[in-house]
Amino acid sequence: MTIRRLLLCGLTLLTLLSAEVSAMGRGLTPVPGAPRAKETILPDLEGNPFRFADHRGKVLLVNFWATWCPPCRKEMPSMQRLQNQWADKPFMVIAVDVGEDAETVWAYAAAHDLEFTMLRDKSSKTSLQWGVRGLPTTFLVDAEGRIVFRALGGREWDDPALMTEMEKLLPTAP
Amino acid sequence: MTFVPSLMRAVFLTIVLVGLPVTPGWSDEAAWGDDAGERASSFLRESNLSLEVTRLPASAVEAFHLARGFSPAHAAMIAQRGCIHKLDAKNAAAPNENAVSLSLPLTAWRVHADGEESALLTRADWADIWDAASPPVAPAARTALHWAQFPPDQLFSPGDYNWGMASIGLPPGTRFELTVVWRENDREHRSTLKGLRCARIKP
Repeated sequence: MTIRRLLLCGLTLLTLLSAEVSAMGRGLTPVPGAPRAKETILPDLEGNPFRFADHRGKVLLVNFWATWCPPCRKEMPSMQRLQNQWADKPFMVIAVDVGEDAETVWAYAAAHDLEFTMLRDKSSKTSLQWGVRGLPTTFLVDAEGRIVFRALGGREWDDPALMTEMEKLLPTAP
Repeated sequence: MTFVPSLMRAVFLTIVLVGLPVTPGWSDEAAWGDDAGERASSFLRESNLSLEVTRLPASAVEAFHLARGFSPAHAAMIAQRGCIHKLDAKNAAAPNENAVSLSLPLTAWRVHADGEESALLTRADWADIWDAASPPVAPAARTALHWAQFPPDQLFSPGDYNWGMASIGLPPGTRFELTVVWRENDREHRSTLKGLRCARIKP
């Protein structure tokens, strides 16, 4: 198989994979009992450890994804728009790439102007600890570190209905 | 639900495990027009389940796995022996209908072809194949295949949607029926999709 044909085949598959029953999922599912998020430390794209606990006091949108996953790719721009809109709020988007190397993730982020926090879970261990079964899966962690919502499949994260729901989680200024 | 011993499944795994080390790079000449004129997707919309099952071209499946780090032989094996289809599934209940949770237990699904019944190849089956493969498969490639396969036990809340590949595990060109099993709030449903076929590959 030639390189050119390989690329063509790969692009065709991504197109096929993108032909979905429905473009996106809807809504957020409350997580029963709002369990405390597991203590998580993952490397960022430069290899520096990122501790979730250091960001207590913010609402975290924690998204598990991979660059080859079509619905993951589709929702990424909306996550960036949300981060931009809420740049002055105690809110943070964290995308955890599952299984890929830093160069692959960095190249994708650079090509799509994604500036939110990107972490890597090379072995999938953290993803499995968080109960992720398929990609993409997203969790919303409140300012106290509790997992309050879950979303399976892609979303338009700057959809007004979703933003209204998430805004309720933001801590109010003292 | 009864467990059905699967001769076809056993034959598939045996062929893969025995044949892989001595198999040269299988040629893949499946043209894009190979399946022209025959629908590639089947739909099931029943109760709160919305499901699309799409046949993926073998050469595209091979390219996808090559790009994830599989060797050419392993990528070709997945494409030629896996009969890979894509599943798009959604819980179509309105988001406020929180009582309706839906699950798709893939281990209960059944493939019917040539008078035989078999199960899908799961993530665990692929893991067994890679454990026995020589030369070994790169961990990153194994990880990618794991996550690209449709999860065998995922709970869909109203509005949830997800996708993934399903490994039917039949030879190229084989026609089959697929019995889909799903549960909505512990009530089991099943329906059979007919007229499905694995992607063809020219020798």
